Amino acid sequence: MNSQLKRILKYGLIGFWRNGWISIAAIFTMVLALFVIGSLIFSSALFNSTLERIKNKVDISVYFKDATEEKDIIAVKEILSSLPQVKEADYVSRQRALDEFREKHKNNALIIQSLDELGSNPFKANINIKAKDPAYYEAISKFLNEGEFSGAIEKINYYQNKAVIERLSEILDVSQRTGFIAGLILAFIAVSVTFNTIRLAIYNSREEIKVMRLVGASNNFVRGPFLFEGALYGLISGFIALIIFLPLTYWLGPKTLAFFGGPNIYDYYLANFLRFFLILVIGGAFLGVISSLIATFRYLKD
Amino acid sequence: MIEFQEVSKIYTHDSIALDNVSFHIKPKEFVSIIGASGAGKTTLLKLLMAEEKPSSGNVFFESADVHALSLGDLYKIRRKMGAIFQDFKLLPTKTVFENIAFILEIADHHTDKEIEADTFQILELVGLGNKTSYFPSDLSAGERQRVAIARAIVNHPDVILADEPTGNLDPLNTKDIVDLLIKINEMGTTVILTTHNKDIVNSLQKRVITLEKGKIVRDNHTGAYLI
Repeated sequence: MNSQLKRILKYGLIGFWRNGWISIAAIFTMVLALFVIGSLIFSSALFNSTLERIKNKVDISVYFKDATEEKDIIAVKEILSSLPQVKEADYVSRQRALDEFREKHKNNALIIQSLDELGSNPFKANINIKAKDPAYYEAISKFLNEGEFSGAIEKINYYQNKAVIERLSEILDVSQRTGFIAGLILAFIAVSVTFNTIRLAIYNSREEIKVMRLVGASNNFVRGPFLFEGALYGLISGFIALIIFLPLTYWLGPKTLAFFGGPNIYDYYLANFLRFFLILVIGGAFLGVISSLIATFRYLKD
Repeated sequence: MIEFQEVSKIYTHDSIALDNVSFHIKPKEFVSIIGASGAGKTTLLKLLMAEEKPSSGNVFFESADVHALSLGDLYKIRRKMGAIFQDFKLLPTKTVFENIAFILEIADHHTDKEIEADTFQILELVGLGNKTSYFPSDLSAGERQRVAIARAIVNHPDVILADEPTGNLDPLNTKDIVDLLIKINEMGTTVILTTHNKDIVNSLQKRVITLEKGKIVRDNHTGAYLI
């Protein structure tokens, strides 16, 4: 078996070398395909982090009547924090609200002056809530409104922003789904282009396959070199794609950071290098082997 | 050793390659199968190698029905047949050496050293010892034919199937190849030769099966070419 395996690898290597142009064409196509797949991963990282940032910008505040005691508000906050839909609940006392407002507008003399003239603190104690998904705000608001502490609540700003939040949540959903489907289609195209290139390369050898079988080669011995060639195409293409992404992301990194607000795809690439290696190189080799396996099948079945 | 039982091969209903053919070949026989082009000679060999399936009837090789064999057994049977094809069927992307060595490699009975020695020896025998690293496309028709013969005999098969092996050759090469086939037969290998070369058949003085339009019209033990 060992010597058979050695012979299969030898013929795979010889075939790869002697079919020079076909090998180059196959590798070229596979590099393109793997490049598309790699780009999809980068796009999805940028896309998701952008969506995440937009989602994070959405929040609601629940305002409490002035008479409400602080310990009651903190109790409500604890309950909110324990809800599975809630990512973060932040208690903002009246004093903190005032301080934050002053800090924010410290350069605006008119506002500060008006505030000083007012004499008392016009702000209400509130809890700022961030949900894990914008779609949850409706349920959270309802929960607060119908809960035992609803009497202490002055207002929930969700109801003023309801239309905007719902619309945003819808847009986020649709873009996520569209992005996923577009990615899937592109990945499918990349895989089928690779498969068809390898199929053409093997189609070119169909007569040879027939002769090998006629002179008594077992199917495994005929198929083996083609599987190895497919693996070689994938490995080499994967490495080329891996190398291409290095200068490309280095160059694009600052630009994406500026445009999307992060992440820097060069840092992302280096941080996820193992993952990219597995997907591009090992995945590429796997794709090559599977394509060869399917492509040879029709010439070996009877 | 080889038996055809009422074998027919019908491609379309007005193209009948073999029509109810039955015969038996014993070990160590030298059988010439003759007939005009299209008489069914090549089809007969294709059926024996299970390259094509018969429309009806059975083909036996060493008591195995070759068309009932699984893919896992068929290649083992084929290793016992050394075929010399009309169109050579050499592997175009392999060198002369590799074309021969391939046969020994697939069998997995030999070490690489033995394979190299056997391959060089057989190529010397057919006079191609100096062209081992050539590709088939670099060779003349006669040289390719000799590679094909070397390939057919290198693993000592039980039977040689030679389909018009002299079809493309000049008389001198033809004589060499026929002499080689006779020698192989004398060493104990069954030989089936298809040809329409009258001189060869007449000089052989061996069994002759004559095909005409897919039927056996004559089967003589020391036949001559009579059409």
